Amino acid sequence: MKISYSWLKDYVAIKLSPEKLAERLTLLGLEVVSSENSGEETVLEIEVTANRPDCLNYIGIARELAAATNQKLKIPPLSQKAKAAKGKFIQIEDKNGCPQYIGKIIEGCKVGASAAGLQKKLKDAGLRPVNNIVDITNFLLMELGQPMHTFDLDKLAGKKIIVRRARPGEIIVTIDGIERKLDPEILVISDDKKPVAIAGVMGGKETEVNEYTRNILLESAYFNPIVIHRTCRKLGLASESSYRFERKVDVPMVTLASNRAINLMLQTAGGKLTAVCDIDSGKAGLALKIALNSEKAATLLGQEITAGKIKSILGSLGLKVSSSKGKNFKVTIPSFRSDLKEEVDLVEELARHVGFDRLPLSLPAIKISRIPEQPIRKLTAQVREIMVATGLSEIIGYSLINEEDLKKLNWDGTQPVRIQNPLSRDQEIMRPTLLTGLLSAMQNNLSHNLTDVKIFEIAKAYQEECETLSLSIGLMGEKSQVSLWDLKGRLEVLVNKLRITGVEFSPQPKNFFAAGKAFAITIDQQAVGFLGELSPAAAASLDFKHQQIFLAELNLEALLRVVKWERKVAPLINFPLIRRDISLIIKEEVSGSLIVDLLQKEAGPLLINTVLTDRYSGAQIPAGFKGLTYSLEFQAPDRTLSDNEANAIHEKLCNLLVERLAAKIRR
Amino acid sequence: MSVEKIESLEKEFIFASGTCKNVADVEALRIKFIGKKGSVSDFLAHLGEEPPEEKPIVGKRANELKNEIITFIKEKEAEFKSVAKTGGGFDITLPGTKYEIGQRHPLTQVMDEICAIFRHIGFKIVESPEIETEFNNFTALNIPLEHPSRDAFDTFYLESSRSTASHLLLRSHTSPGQVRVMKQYQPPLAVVVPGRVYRPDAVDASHSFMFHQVEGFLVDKEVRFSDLKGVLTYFCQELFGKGIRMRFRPHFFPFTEPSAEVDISCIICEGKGCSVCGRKGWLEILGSGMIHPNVFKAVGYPKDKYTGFAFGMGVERIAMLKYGINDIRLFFENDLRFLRQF
Repeated sequence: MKISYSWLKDYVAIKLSPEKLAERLTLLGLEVVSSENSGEETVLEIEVTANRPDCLNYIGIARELAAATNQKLKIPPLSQKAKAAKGKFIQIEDKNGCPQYIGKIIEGCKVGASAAGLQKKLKDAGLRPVNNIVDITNFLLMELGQPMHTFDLDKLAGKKIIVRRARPGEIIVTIDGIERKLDPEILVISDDKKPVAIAGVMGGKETEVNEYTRNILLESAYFNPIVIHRTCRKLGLASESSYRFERKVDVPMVTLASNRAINLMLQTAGGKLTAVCDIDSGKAGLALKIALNSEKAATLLGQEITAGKIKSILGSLGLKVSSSKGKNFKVTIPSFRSDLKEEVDLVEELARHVGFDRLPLSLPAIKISRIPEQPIRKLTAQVREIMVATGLSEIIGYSLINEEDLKKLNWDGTQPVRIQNPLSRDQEIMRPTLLTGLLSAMQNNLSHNLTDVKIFEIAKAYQEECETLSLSIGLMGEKSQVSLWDLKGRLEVLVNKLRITGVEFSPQPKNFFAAGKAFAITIDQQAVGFLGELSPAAAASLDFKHQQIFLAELNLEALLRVVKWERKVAPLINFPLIRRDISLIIKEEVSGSLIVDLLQKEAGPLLINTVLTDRYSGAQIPAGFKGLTYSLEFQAPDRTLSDNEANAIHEKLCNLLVERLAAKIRR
Repeated sequence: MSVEKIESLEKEFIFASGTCKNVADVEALRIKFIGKKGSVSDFLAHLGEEPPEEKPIVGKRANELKNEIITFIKEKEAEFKSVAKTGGGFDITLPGTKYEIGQRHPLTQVMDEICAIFRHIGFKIVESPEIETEFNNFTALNIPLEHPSRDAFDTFYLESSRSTASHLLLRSHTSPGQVRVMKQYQPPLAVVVPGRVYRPDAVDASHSFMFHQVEGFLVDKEVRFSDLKGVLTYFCQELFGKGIRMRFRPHFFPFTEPSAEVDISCIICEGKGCSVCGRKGWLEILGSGMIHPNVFKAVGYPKDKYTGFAFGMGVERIAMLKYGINDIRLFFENDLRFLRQF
């Protein structure tokens, strides 16, 4: 809300410069977010928090300032009431939506421009001067915080007001010239025939007061905050009035503001108050009393506040300390402070006016929380460390995506969960896979001509209404710069470092992977993820050109179930180790695992390690065959192994490979 | 006569230049020709004695020779110096083998740093789900369903496949983590909850519909506002340096009372006022406050038994300040040129 320095002085003496005033208000919780200085005037923009509707007007701000600077609050005359006959021109159909409505009629007034001083005030507050009648309601909106509205009485059919819900299909053109469709959720002010205002939000164009108006009807009312809130959301419309009604206006002010408005209107526009109608279904209720214990306040703040100080702070804010016995106080809350509901609220008032910065600082003795460490955090940290060590950069992708991204990928996994209220299509679904994040990162990098992209992400994937912490890895490179082995190797490092056993890779077609290049990852026969090469079709629809893309995804929560944290060191054998290589050419369809199984089974305990050191294809290898070289390590745990022993096993293995798997040994 | 002299100097220089083998030779050459008493310097000093008709010609040639010598010396010196670095055959100025290592995302790094500071002083780190109930995200946190105070927490709702009575949503802050921990455990509690949060905000340089928060809270008997000030001051000084100043301002959060917004003196201008802090000299860094009794009530703690404080911060904002990043979208574009700087 905009507050001009000179206008604020009407309600409280200010001895601070505008800069100091801004700082002071900020430290009271009335944050000054900007200040505009135009020659003689300074206008402060104050961000009033949702709990303080009482500060959405000059009196409220002045009250805070008066309390903080030990000055007197100057309230304009409010109770003087012009006399008039009681009329019966108001009818409230929805008493829940509108507990109180006061209508007052002035006849024979002269509508014209306001005095220059008033116009300046309105402009400083960011409002446009209209005419002397409308300007007074706007002036009081800023001064007292009570929104009011005036109708041209002669344009009200039947010269009456009915507060009711809109009927299906009704429309209204509001004063901003826009036609709005209404429905029964919306509370309206209507005349005998049709809606003339959206209650608490905006008046209608047709009945607005202009220079031809002679007779007016002034509305001052209390509208239900929830009803106004819903209306605003429904219509996508907000105004200075609705902003205040939504946050609750001060009930007694409905009457007082209307008194002051009539007095000012009669003074400036003349005419005569001819009729008054006040329908009040009794909203006010009894004033709230809160017990405050100064010891409790001291414990909560870490500093004692004297009884005298408590009384003076609360008193200066318009609260009444009705009784005090030792450390116990009874505090009566004024109607305009509906935010004060319990003891802690009063403690905050004390803290604010002592000054948060003046309260002490302490370091508590923090006791041990009896909460177990989450093992998934430990796993995540390790996985991240291993991934980084294998040269991958961590990325963070969006959890919400455009469904198109899944379609382009040709995703055939679980259907995604949809978002009910996305702002754009880019947030319409929750991603069921992390692959979308990898691919969009690859696209971004490719657009900057970075083709060598090795990345991973640890995040939630969403299936149904469940979230699963997952790991995804993506490798992109120009042809032959990167291979599926680079991806599998990283997965192997990961499971080895985590001491996970029983891991198997097996073919499993997926729509988004190339034929023959799609594999499932299982641990003890349980599926935990997949890896493969992005299919040419998906690559094309995602605008990749010649790049090869390899992708993997792993369910980290499944890994957590099989990870082994314990480490037992194997004894180191200090007897010599003998290496023998086997190079062989073998049919493509004979799997590596079959070869290794045979070697390990037939070699006996002296073979301690089998490592694939080379794989080759090309001119010297016939079609349908592959070349592999294994390095075998032999060692005895208790003696020096002789060359002859190793040679014998090596020879036996070579022969078995030839016999059983039809391999050709290259010597 | 003079022209001949110049020509002989030129020949002399050409010969001498061919014999330069190291920096010392170059220096000797410099002294010989263009030092204070060098032959070219001497010739130039006595230019006045030349016949007037020859003066411009020989003067020009002598100066050209001098410049040639200067250039030669510079080039030779640079050459010998770089040769010196190769240490006799191995050119150590060539780059070493390029090893590719990866790196954690900057947001992960900042979150880890924040969590580490709190862990040091006894806080436990707990992760909490992103899909939440209205109860945990709002109701238990004393946020009424239909009140303008909820507008600050615009929230994504899930389209439910099943017809469940309560709506599921994507948490709009990490505070539901507070509710979950308190429902499950009794004080004393000192906990930090890091994670992703979501709000339907239009994306621009300073807004994102997905971002990260770190939430923290301490609950025990007789936790005081002064403890909140002490712990958060310690935290900010650990994260931003001992030199920063702190400011606690009253604010409003439905789940704390009193509530305080925490500012630090601007780390860019040190409080003088700059474009980053909006000329205010202060940067808003944390929201905090004493946990509202209604929150304790919602999680089933006995009345008046415990007090506590809670705080929350935006990880992106802190990372942007720490690293001088001016566009929040950079975190999610995953451009390797950006990521590799961390």
